Amino acid sequence: MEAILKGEGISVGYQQNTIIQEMDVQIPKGQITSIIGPNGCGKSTLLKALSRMMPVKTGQVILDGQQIAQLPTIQVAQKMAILPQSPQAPGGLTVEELVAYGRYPHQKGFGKLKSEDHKAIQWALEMTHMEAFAQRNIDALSGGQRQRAWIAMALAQDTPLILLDEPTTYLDMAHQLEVLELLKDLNETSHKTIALVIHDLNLAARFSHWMIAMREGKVLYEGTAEAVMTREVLADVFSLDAYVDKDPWTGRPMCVTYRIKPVYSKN
Amino acid sequence: MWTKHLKKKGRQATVITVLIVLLFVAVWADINAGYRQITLAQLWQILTGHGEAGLTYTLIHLRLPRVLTSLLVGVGLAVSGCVIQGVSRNDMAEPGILGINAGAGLFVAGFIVFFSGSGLSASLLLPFLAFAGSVCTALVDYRLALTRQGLSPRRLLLIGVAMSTAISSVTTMLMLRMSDSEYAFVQNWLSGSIWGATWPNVVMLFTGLVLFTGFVFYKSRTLNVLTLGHQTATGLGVSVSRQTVILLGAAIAMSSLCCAVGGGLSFVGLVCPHLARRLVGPNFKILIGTTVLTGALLMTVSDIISRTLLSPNEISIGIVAAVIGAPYFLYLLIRS
Repeated sequence: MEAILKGEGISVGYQQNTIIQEMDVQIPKGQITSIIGPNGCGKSTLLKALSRMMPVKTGQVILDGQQIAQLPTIQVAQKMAILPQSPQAPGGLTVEELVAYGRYPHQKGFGKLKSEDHKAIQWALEMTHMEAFAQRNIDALSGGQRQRAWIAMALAQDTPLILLDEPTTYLDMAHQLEVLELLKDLNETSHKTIALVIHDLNLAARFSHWMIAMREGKVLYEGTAEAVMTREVLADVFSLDAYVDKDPWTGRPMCVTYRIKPVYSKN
Repeated sequence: MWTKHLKKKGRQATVITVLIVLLFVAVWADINAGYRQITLAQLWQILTGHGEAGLTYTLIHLRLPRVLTSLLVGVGLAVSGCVIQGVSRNDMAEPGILGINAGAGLFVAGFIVFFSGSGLSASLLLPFLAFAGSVCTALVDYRLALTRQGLSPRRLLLIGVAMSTAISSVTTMLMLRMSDSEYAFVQNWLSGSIWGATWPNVVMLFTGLVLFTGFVFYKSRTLNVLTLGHQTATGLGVSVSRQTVILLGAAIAMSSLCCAVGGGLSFVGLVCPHLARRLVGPNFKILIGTTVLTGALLMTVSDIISRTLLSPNEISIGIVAAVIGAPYFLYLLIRS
């Protein structure tokens, strides 16, 4: 397995409070990777450390064979795009303007848009089906459209790797599915490596090639969806008693129903 | 889609044209706001060197420096406010909130209390004192706001508010020791009045503002990305802490220059960027130019009113600007 992004012995935290202790983690190239785990397990912190939003206290993050701390931030931005959790745009900004901001790492000086910038913006709008909304204000969009606009901005950045922190939060089922279908499409047609933090386990298992299950700042399990989406793993990671079966339509593992694991069982 | 796009561009062009025309009208009215009226023909004569001596003197040495100073102060404060609001992502931010005006006020008041009898010329020294007071306050703000994670604009604003209040109370204590005329002078200064209207100041202000506004305009691409928040900006390849310090530094330098000749003007830096954003949207590439125009316009109009309403007495221009600006600002808040 070739890793496009990895953390080697990384510890991350705020002030005295260490959230992740000496973790080794890898994001495989060309695949969709989901990071799952209960609230407060350090999923988002891991994503922030891997994307240089938070400094690591020990260890190092390696992007495409190079230490991220040694690379100029603009070069990192040409290789890796990040979509934070619920990002905010200033009022009155149009979708097209927002997507154009994604060209930042490829611009110099005043940043007049060149033909390759226009091409990348156009492509990003097409991929996300946002062409019709290009001149709309971001504030006037629905939740699903807004998330697609932000993904379009990350796409305009034209990077081989895209990290997303809970891109489906606050969306209804249909729009969550739409976002994941879009990511799948990007992975298949444009060979983007995608890593995301996500709460919906069934969506994660349905769309990911690789899953990383975390608890209390540690990676407990990692592997294919079939290997991670099991009764035992869900019991260890979420303390859930889950009934896992094959999705009759997609053939992927899915959690059909679940209950809080009784305290007298294992552990 | 393209028609809508063009409509927006067209609207922006219209807004800017209208603002420029209004500004020319206001400047002309401001030149004529006073005891002696000047006609266009007379202006032409003066400019070509054939004007009547008295009128030439009035225009060149009294009116023009005054008009240009108020215009430039408006530009500087508005652009400064525009940058501070963008970098801090806080719509209530303005240069005054950082205690810049208060710091200048303290130095001015301190000078008058401790050195007024020493024969030092106040009118020459005051701009420098005011500038020093502003910069000192900004440096203390910066030092206190700095944490291990770098500079947090939010923390800077909070510290600015506290500093501003603390400094103002010290200034008030100093003012209690003043004579009535000194007290009146400082009070007038604090509420903002164009008293440093001389050609050297105009040249200094103009040069400084052209440099800083040009720099900020050149950085508009970075400002745009910074308004998307710390994380998104980092992801797009901006060194957020460094750029924040550089841009806030430029904003503070601009407002300190303005404060040195215009006193403690507040509100201009708050309301003008809002007005501009309302007119052309949040994209700094067009917003900065529009803010220059709204700032210039508000201060020129305020200057007209401040010199004519109670003529021959003058009202502090800062008070006029607030009286015009506050209701408009309330209107904006109620509508949105």
